[in-house]
Amino acid sequence: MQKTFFVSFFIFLTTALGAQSIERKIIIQDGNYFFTTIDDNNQLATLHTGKDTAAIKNAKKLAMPVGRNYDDPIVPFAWDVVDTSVYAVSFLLHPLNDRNEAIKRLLISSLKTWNQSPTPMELINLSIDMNPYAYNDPYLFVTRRSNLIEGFFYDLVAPDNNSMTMAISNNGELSIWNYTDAAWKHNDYFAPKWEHGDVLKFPVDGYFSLFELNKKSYLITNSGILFDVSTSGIKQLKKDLNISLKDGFLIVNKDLQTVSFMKNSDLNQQTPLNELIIKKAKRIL
Amino acid sequence: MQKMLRCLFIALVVSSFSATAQDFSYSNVDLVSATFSGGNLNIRKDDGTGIYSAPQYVASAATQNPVAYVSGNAPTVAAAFTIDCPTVPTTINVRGFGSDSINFASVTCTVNPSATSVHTFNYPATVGSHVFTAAIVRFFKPYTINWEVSFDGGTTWKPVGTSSNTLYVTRSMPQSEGTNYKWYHTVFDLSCRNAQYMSLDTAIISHVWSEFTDQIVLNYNNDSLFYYKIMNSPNVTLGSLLQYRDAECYTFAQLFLAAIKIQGVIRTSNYVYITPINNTVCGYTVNRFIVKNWNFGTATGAATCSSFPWKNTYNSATGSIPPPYNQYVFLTSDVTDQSGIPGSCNIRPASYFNNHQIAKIDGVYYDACYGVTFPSLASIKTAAFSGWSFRYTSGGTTNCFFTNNMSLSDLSESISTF
Repeated sequence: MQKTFFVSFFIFLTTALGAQSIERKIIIQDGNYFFTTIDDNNQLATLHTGKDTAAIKNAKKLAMPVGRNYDDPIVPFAWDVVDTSVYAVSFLLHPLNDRNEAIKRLLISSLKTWNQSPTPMELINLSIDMNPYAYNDPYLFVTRRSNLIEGFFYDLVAPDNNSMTMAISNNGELSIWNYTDAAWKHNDYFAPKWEHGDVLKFPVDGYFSLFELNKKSYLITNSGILFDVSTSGIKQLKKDLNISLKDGFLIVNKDLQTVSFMKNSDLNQQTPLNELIIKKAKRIL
Repeated sequence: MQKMLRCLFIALVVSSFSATAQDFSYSNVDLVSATFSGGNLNIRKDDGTGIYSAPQYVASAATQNPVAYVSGNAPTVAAAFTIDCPTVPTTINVRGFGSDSINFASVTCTVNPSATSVHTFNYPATVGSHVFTAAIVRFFKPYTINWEVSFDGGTTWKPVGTSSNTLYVTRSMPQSEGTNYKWYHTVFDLSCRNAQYMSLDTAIISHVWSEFTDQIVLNYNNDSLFYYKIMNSPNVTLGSLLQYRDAECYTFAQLFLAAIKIQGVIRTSNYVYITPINNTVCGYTVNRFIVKNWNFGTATGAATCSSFPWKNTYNSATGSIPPPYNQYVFLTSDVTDQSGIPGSCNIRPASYFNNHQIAKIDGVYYDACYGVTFPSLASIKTAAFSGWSFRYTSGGTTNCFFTNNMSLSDLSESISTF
């Protein structure tokens, strides 16, 4: 009985959105929305999904065997949705979680709603032994370049199911990385590979976020400055969007090819998301 | 004559009444509460439910709230009393004598009117007679104040109760709170308890460290803080260690560093994440190590990798530590976990890792969960490890390959500031 109570209580804690923040963004794809939250206790991510015409209070909450830690400064969960897959950088703080193997790809259909099974413990076990989608070369590169960690942030987007873009910063430097596994898929005997551009001086003022639009990648800084980024370099597009990332989240609408920003304080869980976006979101691109 | 007699009678009556009214020696005066203020520091409850509130001393409470000041400051204390007597004076003098010979001066307090025999009066917030010695850590468990009252303007005094609180004095202003580092009760307690009377950075660091060296780390309530009481403990933050009293390595490093930061000692680049260098062996990345002791039996995996010939397997879904999470359970095992290096309050903690988190101060590596130090990164593997490992997962089974040849990999470190 006691065990049942604790399991039920834990599930309640895990499934309630409560004060948990949306991690970086809401993605809209094929009329469905997706966003993630991180559990305060076990670091695990939950994928919330539903029709974009519905209120997010009714979201289906899917347990993810990935997550992120609470180390200071916080690096929000890096994730993306492409078609039927979720891409994620799993920086769970766990003695068996290898950061070199942190990049995972999960089929959305394989995720289960929070229930008594799988338990958080089982999800963490699954996570630490899950084969990586790609080795985290950007992380290894950065930590081998300097073992002093200061201003360390990263984000990842997946433009399609064969490629990823990652931006990673440390010690006032930023590098942009592209990954492709297309060569492997075409039976060309070259291994999937990462490529990166020059390491650029780029002081950060907190975490940044990446998004992809019309085959181009963009980086938005914590203080709201927008850059066009690629392995060829970075180019500032707008001096100041007058937003602060930590105060809200992006809305990446892959159906309409638009990107907006909404403040956390404007998030009403009772209002249909598409209506809320029209009323409250600020268009960025 | 008649007039004189009348005056004498009135004088006698007044005199008699006055003498009776001033004798409150046997009245029932009780200390109700004491409130510390004047720059005292917020102290967070270990259970995560918030900050201890005032009044810190409540006579009717089973437990009292702790208090903290930065050295060089004097405590400021107010107190509340009741007096149970049908006839009460309009004023009562109150004073207090605190630990560390800090006195709280006599103040004339007004007795509040009451429709019953119970009246209240309040000793206003009063600064103590001297400061806690500057730049010295102090630990008072308890810090007492003996309260006295006088009904005759301070000629005679009567003890009316003692307030008793745990009081911490930090050497300097604590470093500001962060996401994980917070001013928890146990952080104050562990730090001030061990660094009592210390002043220099180095002395504070070494005395705080002494809490960890016997592998018995106690919270403010003398409860043990366990390193992997549950071998699959999910707790990775300082807050969760203190709340659940059982956690992973990260949290002990955080506790040690927090106990230094709370004294205002500044050391940057103090938090070290160690993990294998990710070299490749037999086509796989070496990304596991095992902490002493593990027994290497008959090797069955040489056909896969001759340099990592010992092979264990486990169910990927349940992991190497399945429920009830108290031991390693392998499907097959060439290497087996033995008692070795004890951790905090646990003689046989988890010992198969990808990474580990320790503190680094002034060039010394402090492994707080084991209570040991290392002079260099290179010395860790030889002093503490039994071997290296790589693994791959296939068909729901994780295949782990081991070597006890410590030269076949090495440790890398990423250093951040906690």
